[in-house]
Amino acid sequence: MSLSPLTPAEHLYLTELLPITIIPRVHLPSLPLISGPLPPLRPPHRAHVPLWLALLLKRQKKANIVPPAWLNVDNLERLIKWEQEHPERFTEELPWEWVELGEVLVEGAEDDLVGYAGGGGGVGGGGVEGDIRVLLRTLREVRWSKVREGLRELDSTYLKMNGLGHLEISELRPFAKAVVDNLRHITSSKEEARLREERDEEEEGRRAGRRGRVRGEEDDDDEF
Amino acid sequence: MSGGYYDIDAILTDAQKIPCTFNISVPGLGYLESPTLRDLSTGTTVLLPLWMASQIILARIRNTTLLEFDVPQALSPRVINALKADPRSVDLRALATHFYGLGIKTLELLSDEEQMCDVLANSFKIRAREVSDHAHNPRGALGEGADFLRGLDEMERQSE
Repeated sequence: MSLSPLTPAEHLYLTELLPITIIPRVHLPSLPLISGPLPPLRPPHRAHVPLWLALLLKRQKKANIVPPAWLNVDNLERLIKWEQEHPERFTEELPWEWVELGEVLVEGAEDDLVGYAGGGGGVGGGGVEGDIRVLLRTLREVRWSKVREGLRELDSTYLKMNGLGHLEISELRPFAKAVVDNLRHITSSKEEARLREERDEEEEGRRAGRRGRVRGEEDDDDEF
Repeated sequence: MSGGYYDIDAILTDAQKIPCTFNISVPGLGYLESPTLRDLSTGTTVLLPLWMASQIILARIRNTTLLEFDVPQALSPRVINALKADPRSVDLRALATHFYGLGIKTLELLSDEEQMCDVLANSFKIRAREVSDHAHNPRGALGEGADFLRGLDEMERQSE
């Protein structure tokens, strides 16, 4: 009857269509993909390819992925701090698919994240990778706790979701929708009574207005 | 409750009973009160399903309705006060499987129950948050909170 939100698998699929920067290690001629021809890969020049291809090349050790600018330890720590300091808002800095992107990149290209985040030649980077995983998790928890607080404010009118990621909205939507729907049902009798009252008042007001006008005209007559 | 002719929850909601007091005596319906009685006399209170009660109330004889409604047991002031005190501690399922459905229908039939409406809406909201916590952080079917989850009404169960 109603559109259900996307499943996590569908989210993943959509995310894998996004372009990402890679540093290829092998030469590859231009590929004719459905989404358009892929530029030829010439190491060591960076190239933009769809995420699914980047992950494929990465798995075959034919490329390194350049993580997006927001996905590093410093930035994540900063964002977590920001999120904690602003209990009423969500940051607008994260991309729409940040949950999925983070998950996929940590899963498929963790060593690239290590080198990028550590910045020190990847020495002793094992802990840093763990950190990114933990930081992403923390960020998600911090944001979700704010969503929970938002549910407390939920009434039968609206719920503000500015700055939330796609997956986060999909998680929240069916629940929020059901709650708002049911709340509307529960308060429907009250709402109806209010509407009826308003209508009555309006009717009363119109009647009073008409009386007032009639009296006004009489006054005019008197003056003449 | 999305409606629809075969919506099983709507049917079960309408099958819940509400106490009704008859304003007239009805010949031949005495068995509703006790198997030996022949006629149902004026002022008798019997439990009628919502779908029947809401139809009978429409009929009038000499400008009086045939029935008067009472607040069902599940929505008695005792329950409403308990909900006002702490919505999470009330076992709604034990009171009525379709508690909110019953509440909505009752509110439609009875006027001047604005307070009950507010209490129900507020309880639903607070309990919904609790339900969402359990959905995102399950602590096992027998872990803590199992009592709360067992006490959910059908509408709350289907929310998540």
